[in-house]
Amino acid sequence: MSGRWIERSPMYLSFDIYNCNYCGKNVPRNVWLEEMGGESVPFCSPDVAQIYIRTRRHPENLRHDDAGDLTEELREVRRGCAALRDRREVAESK
Amino acid sequence: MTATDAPPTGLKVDPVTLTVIDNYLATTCREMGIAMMRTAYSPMFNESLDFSCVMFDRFGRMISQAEFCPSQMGTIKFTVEWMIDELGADVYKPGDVIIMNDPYRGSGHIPEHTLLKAVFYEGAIVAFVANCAHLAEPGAKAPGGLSGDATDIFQEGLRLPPLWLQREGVPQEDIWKIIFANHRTPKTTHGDLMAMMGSLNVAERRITSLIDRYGMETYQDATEDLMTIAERRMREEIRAIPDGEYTFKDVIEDDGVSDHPYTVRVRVVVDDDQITCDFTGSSEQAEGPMNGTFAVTASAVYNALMHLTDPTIPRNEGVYRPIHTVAPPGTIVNCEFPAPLVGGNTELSPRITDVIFGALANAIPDRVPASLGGTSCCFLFGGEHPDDGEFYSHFHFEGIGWGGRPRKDGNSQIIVINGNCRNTPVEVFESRYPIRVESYRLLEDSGGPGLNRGGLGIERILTMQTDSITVSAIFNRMTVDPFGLHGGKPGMNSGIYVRFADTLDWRTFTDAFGTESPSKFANLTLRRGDQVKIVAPGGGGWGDPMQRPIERVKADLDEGFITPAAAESLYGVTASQVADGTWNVTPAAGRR
Repeated sequence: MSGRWIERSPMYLSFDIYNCNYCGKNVPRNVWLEEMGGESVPFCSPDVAQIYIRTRRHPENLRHDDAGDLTEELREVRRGCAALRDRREVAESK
Repeated sequence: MTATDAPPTGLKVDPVTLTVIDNYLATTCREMGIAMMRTAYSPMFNESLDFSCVMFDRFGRMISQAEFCPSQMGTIKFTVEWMIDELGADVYKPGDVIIMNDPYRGSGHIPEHTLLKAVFYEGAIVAFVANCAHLAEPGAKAPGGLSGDATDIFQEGLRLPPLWLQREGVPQEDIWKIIFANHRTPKTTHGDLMAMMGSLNVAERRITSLIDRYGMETYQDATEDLMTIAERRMREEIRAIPDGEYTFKDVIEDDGVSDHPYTVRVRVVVDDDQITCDFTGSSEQAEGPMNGTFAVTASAVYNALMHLTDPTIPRNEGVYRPIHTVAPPGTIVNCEFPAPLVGGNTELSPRITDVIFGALANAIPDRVPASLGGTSCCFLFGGEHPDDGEFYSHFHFEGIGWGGRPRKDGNSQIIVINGNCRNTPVEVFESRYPIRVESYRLLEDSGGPGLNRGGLGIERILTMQTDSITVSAIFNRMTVDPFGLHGGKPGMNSGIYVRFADTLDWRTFTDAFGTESPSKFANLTLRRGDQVKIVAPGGGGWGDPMQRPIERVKADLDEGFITPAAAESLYGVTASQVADGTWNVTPAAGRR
């Protein structure tokens, strides 16, 4: 696994949105970019990226209409992603 | 301290103090709302109550809210998170007020403006207080802002990133001027924004007073404990729902730009004490303004689950922790910039709530109602007022029928589930705007038949009283029925029609003006004497209508809620009138 935290620039001259590849949330400021297949893929946190790698699911799969075959692993990923870190813990870890 | 007033396990503050502080915080949120209601200029505030007031701790975690607009209370969590994160937590000074309304930064849609203020105590931030309110005029292509045919966000109004509206108590004139120059009704905007700022001042005073009374440590421990309690109680509520995966889908019938329908599909995964609502498989984002952002979708998820769980759980950050949303970007439930989205907050939001109800209908049948009418019936208008020559603008919404419930009929003529607002009373409406309300009535047979009938929708007829009025609309459920549950039948569809002066026929706007959609359009001109008929939909029925006790069918006949023909065909009851408003009923042969 390799990646890095970035601070998103305020969107005044361009409008770059970072959606977490699992839950879809726009990440306001601190974005985890995971290097995957030559691409920087945004996530809410590195924990989520780790689980993503375990599941080996490509983000494009999330757009398909056949939502009928979600695996248990993928559900775990999504729960992990949506359970965003407590803002107090984030603030106090800095 | 006795055994009974000691803090429960894992908590720091005793139960009595916790209860007092919890109620103090919620009451303060209510007081913020009353301040806005009484001091604002627009009927959107002082009649419709289309606003919400919320408090956060110093980290931006919600610590309290009151019974305001559910869609705003869910989105404001994301809005405030974004405002704090984009600007940084260390930039605020006492007396600063920040404004933001950008939906692509966590707001619901452009008309909803959020104001945020940091509360200081002995030189340090101890809380953030915020309110979110729907301004009647956001400077969009159409008066009132809800342009039913918008094709990008730039047509939906002036978009504000987080900006200082006030620095250390001093209004930032340049920002105000930009806003006034872009809104059609700057005086109203000014009054409404000032009301919002006053509301923040109320909350600021109350929080410092609370800390004076209990001390900083108790205040901070109590807010932490209240979040813990809310989380525990919500997890217990979810644990009572059988584990499993539950699916449902429904349709947004068109988007105002094309007649393409959009599917909203949900898979609800209940896993012990947490719940995930996954919208994978929903349609690609719409060309017209029926999209929602992630915040809108997550807010609607919260709203649905708050309706199905214990309403006494403290409403703060903790209650949201076990609830997760997955909304793939690029879909109607999480559109990508610069897609139009103003109708998502009014129309997609109730559809999301409905599909979650539909999904959980078999998991917790004793709690889930049938579909509500599911549209805000947004009717917008504006123009130059004949009395004073000034521009006016108004967002009128209508009550609808709610779905039949497991133990009761659905409520009639209640604002949509994401709104919890009120519509503008006829007297205020007519005195403020050059439109006369010709009639306004509950609509018989509009509630979906069922063991427990859906609530009734309404019919309202408006007559234009001036030479030129610009109108727009965003309605849904005009072609797709509000669904029933467990054998209940659908509610009646919505409608919006026009009758030109000196003509007899009601026509759809598509027929009269050539709009792409009969229910979503913008900037059409009506003349003196033209009329608009609004039909608000009924709620779906719950349970088999043939099981409805015959005395309840009679009561509906006596009240005029159903017609004798419907009693016969839908409930299997033959009715004969014995006096005005009184009916005799007997089971129809072979029908029951």
